[in-house]
Amino acid sequence: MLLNIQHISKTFSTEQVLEDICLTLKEKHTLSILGKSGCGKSTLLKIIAGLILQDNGDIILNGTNINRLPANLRHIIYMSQEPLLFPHLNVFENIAFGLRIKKEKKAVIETKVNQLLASLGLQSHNKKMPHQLSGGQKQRVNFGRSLIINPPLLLLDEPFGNLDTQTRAEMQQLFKQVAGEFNIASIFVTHDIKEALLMGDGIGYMNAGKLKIYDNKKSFISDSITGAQQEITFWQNL
Amino acid sequence: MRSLKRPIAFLALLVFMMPFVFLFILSIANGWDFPNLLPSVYSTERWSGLVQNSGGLLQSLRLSFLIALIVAIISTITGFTISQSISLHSKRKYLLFACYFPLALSPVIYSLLLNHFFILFNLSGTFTGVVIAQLIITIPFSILLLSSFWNENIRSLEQVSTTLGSNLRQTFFRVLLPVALPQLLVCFFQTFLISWFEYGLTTIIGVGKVQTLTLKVYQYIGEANIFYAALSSCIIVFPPAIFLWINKRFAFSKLN
Amino acid sequence: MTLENMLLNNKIVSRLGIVCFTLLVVVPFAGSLIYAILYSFGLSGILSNGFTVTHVSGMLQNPEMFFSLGYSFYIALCSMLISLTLSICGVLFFKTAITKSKWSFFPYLPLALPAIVTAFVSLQVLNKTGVLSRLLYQTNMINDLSQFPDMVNDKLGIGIIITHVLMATPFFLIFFSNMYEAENVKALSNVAKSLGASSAKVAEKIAIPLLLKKGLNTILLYFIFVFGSYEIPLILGQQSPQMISVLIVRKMQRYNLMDIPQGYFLSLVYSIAVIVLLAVFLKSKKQSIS
Repeated sequence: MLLNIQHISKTFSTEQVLEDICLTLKEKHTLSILGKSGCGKSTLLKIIAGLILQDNGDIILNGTNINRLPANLRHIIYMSQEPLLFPHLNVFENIAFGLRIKKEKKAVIETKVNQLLASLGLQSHNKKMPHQLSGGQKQRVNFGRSLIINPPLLLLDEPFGNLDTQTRAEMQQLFKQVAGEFNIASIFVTHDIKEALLMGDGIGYMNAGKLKIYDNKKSFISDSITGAQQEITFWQNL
Repeated sequence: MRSLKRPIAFLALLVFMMPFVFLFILSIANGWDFPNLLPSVYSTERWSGLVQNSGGLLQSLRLSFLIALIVAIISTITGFTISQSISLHSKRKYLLFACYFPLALSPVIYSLLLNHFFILFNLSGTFTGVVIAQLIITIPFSILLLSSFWNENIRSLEQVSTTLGSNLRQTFFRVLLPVALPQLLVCFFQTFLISWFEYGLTTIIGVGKVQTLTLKVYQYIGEANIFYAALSSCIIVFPPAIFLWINKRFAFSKLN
Repeated sequence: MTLENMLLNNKIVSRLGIVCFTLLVVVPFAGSLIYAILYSFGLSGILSNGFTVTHVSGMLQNPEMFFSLGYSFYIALCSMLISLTLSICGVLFFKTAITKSKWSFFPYLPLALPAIVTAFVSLQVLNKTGVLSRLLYQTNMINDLSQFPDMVNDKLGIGIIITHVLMATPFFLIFFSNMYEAENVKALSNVAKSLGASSAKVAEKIAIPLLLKKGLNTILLYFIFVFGSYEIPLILGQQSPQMISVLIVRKMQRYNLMDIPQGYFLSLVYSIAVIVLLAVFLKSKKQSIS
């Protein structure tokens, strides 16, 4: 088991944002979590990434309790809806950032970055600055920046939420392809039912700070609280 | 109306440029008798005398520059770090509002109110005293100017950098500082100019002993020595004009 | 370093920043006001003899303070009204060409002039033997210096007002021009025109109210700046009434020790006036947010 989250709780002021969250994640697997805005999914991901400290509970990564480990040493990447590229660095340097932090050799950086640029279809954009890129291109660079340091775990917080339908579909395909290629485990959070069902090997539903993990996609669809059945009925009646 | 655009624009340009041209002409004049519109005799003696520190102007120039440089560096660094602390505070709105008070007060009146303490700590009439007094007005200014940098976007960039493996020092030097650079440059230039132009506060705290360029201008006006007043005015205004040009071309455009 | 230690370090650094802020911003301001109160009421200073309201009542009974405050208010109001009118008209006429055209550097030039230099230039242009009187003499519009009106050290403060207008107008030209673009006034004006508004109506109902409302805080701060200005009235102002800064400096730097507590009280009145004006500015900000 790669990741084991045990009884995580978090309260901000008087508001309980997360209540007794438990989940497990195998290596190379993707867990989709469906949830509306404000249900606590971003807080959960930030706690796993080490950006927020939980009130209670444990985070076990590869058998080690990482509660007290700072974010920069967890090797867990958090990707938000906004690509958040470094505005002062071009595409090449954005992707190379993690390797430069590790003081990797110049030749190694050149090779790895160029390979990734090719995988992501960004070779012709390597010298461009972030403001010159489209939304989809920015998210590709964001992927590249995250993948180049081979993180064991990727946390994706509605990464395609700001994209148009077609670009979104392309990015979903790209994610499945690179996740397989780089053997990455990930937690994919979204408010889109179709995306949740498409992206995950496992699936969960989050509401008002509570998380329910389903044994399979069938049980997820049959549970009325997820809204999946209503969606299917809508398309069938159209 | 459109036909008036050019003449109005031309007139405005004349008004903007007139002080500089006038000051320069006066600085090389050797007499300006009434009712001549322009001086009749010219000489570059005053400008060449500058190098020999004639009238103490070169010394004043060095002093003004040194004070402004120290004030600009310290207030930019201090403003950057304090504004970060304020941005994390729950009462940040009130703390930022508090910065307006020292700014809004007339510097000369503020320095009069503080003068007692400067005398108490033996800072009156000293270089250090003038620097500290100017910092008391430029630090709130730089806090206000740089507070807009510490927004949600920057916090998110910090978090991205952290999850990619950077420690605090690496995040600061590789991400925060480069992104903040245009805003820091603007702050540096603005606080430099505030110090460079300051007269009232420098007179009170410096007690006339710290002879900056602005004090020289007033001294020559008082002596009715309009040619030296013009010369010292030229020295005061030309560096800021160049700074403004750099600021506008590079820092402002990067900010946009 | 553990996560808790990192967060603790961040907290310590943040607290240190607040401490520095308190020491560098709050303490000098509060200290100076407290000292001014103590001095005004005889509790501190060379001549202090315990609590007394003599200095305060003396100042309140002396019309000098009220004339000075009123005069400063008049100068600030006139300067602001004229420069705001000129700058808004300039922006509506030239729009963003002020900051975007190849001539856009020129409005920035006056910002390189400190108050003392602008005052000196105004003195040389507006005084009896200045550029303007020479021009009028050369064009035979006047035959004698006495025919040239008093424009410096005069009762109406014409020289002071003109100088402040020369400084404020380019500043507000740039300010409103940037705001014109940031608030997309051109697009809003086009919408209004498509709904049938004339250019004059668009200016009256859309552009001017929008620019003034959004720029209110800056206008107020500049007003306060003109109200408390020192160098310009020092060189171009008259002996009486004087603008508030000049009067306070005169009171506190005189050899007559009895004037000093009055000077402190005047500073206190001025500071309270500024604080009240700022409190109004904050109120406006709160209202516009809600």
